[in-house]
Amino acid sequence: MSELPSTVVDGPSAQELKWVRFLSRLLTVATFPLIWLGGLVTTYDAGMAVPDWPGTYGYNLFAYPWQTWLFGPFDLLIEHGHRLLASLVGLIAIGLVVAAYRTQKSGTIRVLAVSCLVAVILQGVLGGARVLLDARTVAMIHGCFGPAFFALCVATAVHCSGIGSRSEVGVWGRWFVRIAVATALASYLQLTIGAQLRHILPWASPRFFLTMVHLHLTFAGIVLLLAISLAASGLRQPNTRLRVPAIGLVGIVFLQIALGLGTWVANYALPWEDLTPWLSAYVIHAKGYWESLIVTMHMATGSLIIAMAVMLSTRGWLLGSKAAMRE
Amino acid sequence: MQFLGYDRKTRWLPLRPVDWTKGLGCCLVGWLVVLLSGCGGQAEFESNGTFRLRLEAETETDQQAGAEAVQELLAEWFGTPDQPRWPELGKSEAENEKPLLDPQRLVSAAGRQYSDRDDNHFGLYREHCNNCHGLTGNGRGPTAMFLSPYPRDFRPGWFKYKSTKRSAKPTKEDLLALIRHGIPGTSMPSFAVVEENDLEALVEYVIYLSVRGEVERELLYEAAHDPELLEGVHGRISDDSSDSVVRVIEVRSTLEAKASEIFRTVTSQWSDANESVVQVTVPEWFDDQAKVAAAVERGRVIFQGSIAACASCHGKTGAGNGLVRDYDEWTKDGTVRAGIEPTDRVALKKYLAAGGLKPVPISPRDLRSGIYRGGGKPEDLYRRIVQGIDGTPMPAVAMKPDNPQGLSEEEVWDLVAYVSAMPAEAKMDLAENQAEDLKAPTAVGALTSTVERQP
Repeated sequence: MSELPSTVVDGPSAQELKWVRFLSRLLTVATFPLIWLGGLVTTYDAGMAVPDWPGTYGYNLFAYPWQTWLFGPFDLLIEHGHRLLASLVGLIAIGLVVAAYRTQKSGTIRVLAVSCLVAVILQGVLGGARVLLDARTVAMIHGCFGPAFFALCVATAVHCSGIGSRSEVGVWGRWFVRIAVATALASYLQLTIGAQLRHILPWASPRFFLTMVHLHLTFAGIVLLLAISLAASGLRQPNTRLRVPAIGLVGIVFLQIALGLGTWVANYALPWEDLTPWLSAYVIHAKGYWESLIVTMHMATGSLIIAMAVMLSTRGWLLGSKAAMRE
Repeated sequence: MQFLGYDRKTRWLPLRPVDWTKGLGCCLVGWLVVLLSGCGGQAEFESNGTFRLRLEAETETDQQAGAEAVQELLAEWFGTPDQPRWPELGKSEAENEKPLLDPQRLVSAAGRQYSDRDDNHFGLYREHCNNCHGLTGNGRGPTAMFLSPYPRDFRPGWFKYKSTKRSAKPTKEDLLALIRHGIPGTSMPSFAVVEENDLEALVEYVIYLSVRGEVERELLYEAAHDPELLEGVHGRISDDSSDSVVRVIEVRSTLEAKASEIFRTVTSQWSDANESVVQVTVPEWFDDQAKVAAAVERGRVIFQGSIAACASCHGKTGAGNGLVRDYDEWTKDGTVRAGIEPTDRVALKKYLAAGGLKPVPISPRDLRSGIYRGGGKPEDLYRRIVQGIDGTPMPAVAMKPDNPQGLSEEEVWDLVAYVSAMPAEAKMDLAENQAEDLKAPTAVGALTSTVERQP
C-alpha cells in the first residue's frame, strides 16, 4: 500500500485552465440532458419522427420553423429537440478544442478535447445512420455510444479542473482507482446489456431476452458490490473529492436498482398475485407519464453511474500519479 | 510516455501496463459480443411448429413438406410482416356488406415504425404489441417467457374475454376495449393514450394475424390428414421431373381450393361475431341492497353446490384454492395432444425446440382479490358464468331449459351477486382477523359501493 502522498503544486495555472475548465464543464453539463432527451426519444419510439438527416423535413436543422417544432407532434418535438441540443454540444466541443489549442501546452488536454470533438461527430453520424438506415441495431449502438461520450466529457472536465496540480492531498492506496475503473467498465457493460433489452429486435427470441435479463441482473449485483467496495475504500480517503462522490455513488446505484424494478413494473407489471397482491391490480399505461419517466430515468441514471465511476477513476488516477511523480 | 497521468517510472496505474492492455482487450471483446449478440435475423412469419408437432404425433409422419407448402401459400396470400396482404378471395355475404378489414389500416399497423409530420403513426404493431405477442402473433415475443399469463397466441383464433358466445370470435369492440383498457392482473397494458384510429388499426391487424394463423392451422391439418395432398407435396420436394411439375400444379390448386374454403369460413366467423353477442340485462334488484344481500346468500349456496360446482376449482370461499390439474389450450397443442407429458422435462425439449413456451399449470382465479381480467361489471361476470372462458378449463354452467338440472337465469344472477361480494367479504374477514373491535363494513354495503365503482 502506498504512503499518503504529500501536497503537490504543479501543472498549468488556474488562469491557464480557465477556459478549458469552463468549456469542458459546460460540455459535460449539456451532455447529460442530451442523454435524457435521447432516452425519451427511445421511450416514445420517436427515433423515426424525422425521416431525413442532417436536415429536418428538408429544412436546415437550425432553420426548421420553431412553431411547427414546438407546437407540432410530440415525437417531432423531442426528436428535433434532441438534434438541436446535440448540435449545441457539438459547438461547445469545437470551442473546447479551440480553447485547448490556444491556451494549453499540455498534450493531454489537447488530445482529450479533440477526442471529445471526434466522439461527438461520430455520435452524430451514428444518429444520422440510425435514421437513414432505419436500423434498430444502429439505434442501440448510438444509445450505447452516448454514455461513453458522456464519460469522456467527464474525464476531460476532471483533467481540465487542475486536480492534483495544486496543493491537495493524494490517494490513499492504489486499490481505490482500480475499483473505480472496474466499476466504470462493469457499469458500462451493464448499460450495453440494458440497451439490448431496450432496443430488442422484433424477431428476437424469448431465450435471447431471458439471457439478457439474467445478465443484466447479474451485472447489477456486480456493479453494486463494486460500488460498495469503492465506497468502503473511499471512506479511508483523506480527499473529500474522492470520499464524498464514492459514497454518493452507492446511493445512486441503489436508486438505479429501484428504478430498474420500476422499469420492469412499468413495462411488464407484476402479475403474481400471491407475491405482490398490492401491485397485481395495477394496469400499465403504455407511454403514460410516470411509466415513461421511470424508464427514461433508469436509462439516464445508468449513464450517471458510469460518469461518476469515470470521474472517481480519473480524479484518483491524477491525484495518485502526480503525487507519485512528485515523490 | 505521459498520458492521462501515467508515468512509466512510477507506473501509477490501476493495473500494470501489460495487464491493463489485456484487461481492456478482454473488456472490449466482451462488450462487442454483448453489443452484437442481438443483431441479425429478419422480419418473417414463423411456421406453427407446435401444431406441426401435434400433427406428426397424430399421423406418425414427418410434416415438413406440408409445412413448407403451406408456408409458401400463406406468404403469397398474406404477404410478410413488412408488407401484409389481405387475400382477395370470394367474400361472404357479411363481408360484402361491411368489409372485415381495411387494407390501408393493415399497412399502417404493420412494418417498420415511424411517424410523419402530421403525427400519423406507422408500424403500430411493432411499437405496441410485438415485444410480447411476437411478429407472427404467436404469443412468443421476446419478453413472453417472463410474463404470467403468457401473451395471447392469436393463431388458433381463441379469445378469452369477449361479449360473444364461448366458441365465437370476439367483436371488434371487444378487442378494442381490451386494448384501450388493458387487462388488470396481467402484463397487458392500457393503450388509452393511443389515437382511436390507431387502436382500430391494431384491432384489424390482430384479426389479420389471427385469420392467417387459423388458416395455417387448418391447412396444416388438412395437408396432414389428406394422403393425396401429402403425397403430392412430397413428390414436389423429392422429384424434379416434368411429370412431378404437373403434379405440383394439381396439388397446389387443391391446396388453394382448400385454403380458400378455410379462409372464407374463418372470415365469416369474424364478420358474424356481432350476431353471437350474448345479450345481458342486469336485473333491477341489483340496486336494492336488501335484495342483493339475499341473493348473495343464495349465490353462496349455488357456488358451493354440485350443479355449478364452482367451489371444486375456485375453492369453498372463492380463493382459487380448489383442485385443478390442467393446462390452458394454447400449450396443449404441442404437449398433451402431441403425446408429450408437460411434466416430462426430457420429452418437453422437443416441444420447446418447436417454439413452445414452458407449460404452466392453469390456476383458478382468486375471486376474492377483486381483480377481474375480463371485466368486473355484473354483465361481464354473467357472461363468464354462462359461457365459460374459451381456451381454459372454465366451463359454461349448465342452464335451464336446455338442461333441466341446470341453473335458472335467476340463480345465475344470484351467483353473480355472490361473486361480486367476494372481495368485500375477503376484506371483512381480514379486518376481523386483524382487530375484533374494528367495525368492518358489511358485505352488502361494500358490494353496493364495489358495483358502483366498476367502470
